[in-house]
Amino acid sequence: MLVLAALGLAGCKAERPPGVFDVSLDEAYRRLSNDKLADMVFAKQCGILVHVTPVGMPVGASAREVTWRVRSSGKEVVQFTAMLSPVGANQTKVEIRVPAAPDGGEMYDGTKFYKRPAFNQPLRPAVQEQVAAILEGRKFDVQRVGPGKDKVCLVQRGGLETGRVFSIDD
Amino acid sequence: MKPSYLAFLLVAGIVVYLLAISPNANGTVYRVPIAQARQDLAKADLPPLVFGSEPLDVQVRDNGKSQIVWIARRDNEELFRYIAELTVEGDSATRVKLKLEGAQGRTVNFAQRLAAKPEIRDMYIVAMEERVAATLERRPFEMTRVYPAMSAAAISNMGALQASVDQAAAADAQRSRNNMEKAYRDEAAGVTRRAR
Repeated sequence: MLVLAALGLAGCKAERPPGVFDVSLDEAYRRLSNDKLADMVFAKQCGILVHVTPVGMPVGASAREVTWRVRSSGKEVVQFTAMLSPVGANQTKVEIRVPAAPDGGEMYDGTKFYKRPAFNQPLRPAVQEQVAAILEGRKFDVQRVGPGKDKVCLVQRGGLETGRVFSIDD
Repeated sequence: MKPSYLAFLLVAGIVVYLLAISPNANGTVYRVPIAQARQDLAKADLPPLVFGSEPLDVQVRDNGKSQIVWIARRDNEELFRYIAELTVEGDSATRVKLKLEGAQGRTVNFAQRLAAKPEIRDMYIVAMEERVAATLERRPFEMTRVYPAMSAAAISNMGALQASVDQAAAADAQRSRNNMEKAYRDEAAGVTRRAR
């Protein structure tokens, strides 16, 4: 019985805390700072064309951060950041940060109104899923993100999908 | 309710259902003179909804005697034809007997498909019978009269329907993706296509 119990326990993998991934800090940084989040952009973008640029930089002695700057028609429309910190040698903790909105909360938190939204809201779960997919080496799964709440986005996306593009200047 | 009544109602319901999903092999008699029936049917279109979303080209032929033929084509390829046989019944009535013939086209062997799926063939005939009835009785087409045959066809064709739905969804998603990718290519090339 003890042998069986030991075998059973050996088969169990310790559950990772939320936001912690089984990749080293260097590897997580390498992957994220080279990724333009194409799957998330395709799944969640609205009717304006957006371009995502990752910018990585060290933070202090051991941490790193990757910021994705999102531009449309040459203007930055939103940015979000993954803060990376090591958890031992082979794990990395990732914390997503989205800038605060002028009227409280954070940008694209699901309650904000944008005349020409870049992404369907809430944005944070989509970023979390995209980052997790990259670090777990799997495809972005839109089903894990949940439906968007931004009706303006849905209308504009419909335009884009049928060949009618919106601009932030429209 | 007594069990015997319940059994009777059940059997009656099944009989009605079976009648509703089967074409009328002997045709139907309408109180319309044959000349009028021919004239009216020559203007009738195919039934709505049953042939999917892709439009069909329909040509109606009136041989001037006892046949009206609707020939359905897609991309210049005949898929099938309905043939209505008209016969005089008494002084001022006409019997209309409808049949469906699948074509063996260049790319689609519709005759084979219909033979392999008799429930779908029956549904097509029931739908056209309703179109004929609505035309000669001068009333709107009643989709509810086709529903039993449609449900029988849907049940028999569940697997293919799911595959068809999946295929349509995939094609739609691919179309959307192509449009989005083109929008980005156009932007890179300096071409602007704005929403109005």
